[in-house]
Amino acid sequence: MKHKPLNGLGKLLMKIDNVSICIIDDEDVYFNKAMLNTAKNSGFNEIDRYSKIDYALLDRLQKNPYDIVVLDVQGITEPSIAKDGMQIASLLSRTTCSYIVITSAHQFHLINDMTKVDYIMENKIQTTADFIDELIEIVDDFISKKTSFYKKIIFKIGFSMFKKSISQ
Amino acid sequence: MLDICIRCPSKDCEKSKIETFDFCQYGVAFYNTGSIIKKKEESVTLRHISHNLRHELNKVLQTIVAEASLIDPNVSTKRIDLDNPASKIVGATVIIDQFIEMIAGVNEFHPSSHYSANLDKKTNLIKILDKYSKVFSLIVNTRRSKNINFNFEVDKKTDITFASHIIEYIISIMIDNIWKYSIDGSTATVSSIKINTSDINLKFINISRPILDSEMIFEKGFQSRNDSEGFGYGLYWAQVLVQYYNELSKRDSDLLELTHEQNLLENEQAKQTFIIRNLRS
Repeated sequence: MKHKPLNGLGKLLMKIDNVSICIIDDEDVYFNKAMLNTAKNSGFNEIDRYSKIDYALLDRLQKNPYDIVVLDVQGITEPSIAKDGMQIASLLSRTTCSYIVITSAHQFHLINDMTKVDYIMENKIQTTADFIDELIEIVDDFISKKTSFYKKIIFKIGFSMFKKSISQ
Repeated sequence: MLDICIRCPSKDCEKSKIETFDFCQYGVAFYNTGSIIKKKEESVTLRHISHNLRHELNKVLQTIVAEASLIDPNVSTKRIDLDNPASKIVGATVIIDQFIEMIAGVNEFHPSSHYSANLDKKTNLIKILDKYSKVFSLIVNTRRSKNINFNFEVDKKTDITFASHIIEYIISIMIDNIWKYSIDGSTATVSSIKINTSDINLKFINISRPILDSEMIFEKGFQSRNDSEGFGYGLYWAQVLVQYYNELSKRDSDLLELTHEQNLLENEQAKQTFIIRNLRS
């Protein structure tokens, strides 16, 4: 049961100083429109969704990094840019402060081949509600690992209210 | 050397007796001459098929789950509501996903210690037990058990605190087996016992018909009866996951274990006890 005033205020504060999120997956059915709309309605209104990484996006990812980047490991790059999403993840981990999430349909394969990233989405089959649950976990981990105390303080207060409202 | 053999950590072929012809767990046929091991990989390997099967079917399952989410935006793969048709659709896809993952895992999985993220992700134990006791009740046929009562003697606050995705999979195999082999209308009990500040033992007890050759229960392909509901891969896969968990945990003692004990009862019945020991919580 949601606590409505707390939920509304939390989402408002989150939107003032939001975390920027970039999701790159070549399959439209993952991270689909319904999920992204629900995420926006839940206060995460700075989510960009791409199918492929071209040179312009790679440039953006490095020069103007997102707070969080979610990458599928297969099918999102041309060979001229990178071998696969894992290589992009490795590059962004080394050259930016972005919080890197990787995802694949092959959970155990993914674990075996993994380079150092911040988070692995282990279960790719997700309902809209699962996606929001996992997004909250990711943002929580991002806040604790990649932000200083004062950075995004308004977002943190709003996010804390939002979490409390949906746990009641 | 064959591509699949380069990555193989177990090298069972090299441990085989002289003049053995067999297939290893990764589908490579081998013959031990005594001086050399002759090997032949299938032109399309089982590993290759498994890998692609998962890749293709995952999109189909995600499409089903996405459509179920449109029917009811609150459905979740983590919480199954047996009174909600959309949630039951999601539950059925969870079963298919688990099964495909097992096939892919058995055939392409190699333990590794390179994993470096998410190992400390916590998952609530009672929620996992509740989910899978409901999920596996969705499959109804003449060979599966009916009207099983689950009794969870587990503290609601207990979380799995290390490699919870692996433990969740092992638990799902245990509960699927309870639904496959229990006597109709019997009670299955799952209880946790704290053994020290960081570990619990998780005990699964159910009543079934006696299992013949029960000491072989973890062998790949083991079936107690020809008309058995299972293929004999679940408990083998559970042991592979236990081995993998121990690789990751880097403990020298108090390793994770999965054990089984059978006690024969009257009227052609037996009490089956599986214990997951030294589970971090």
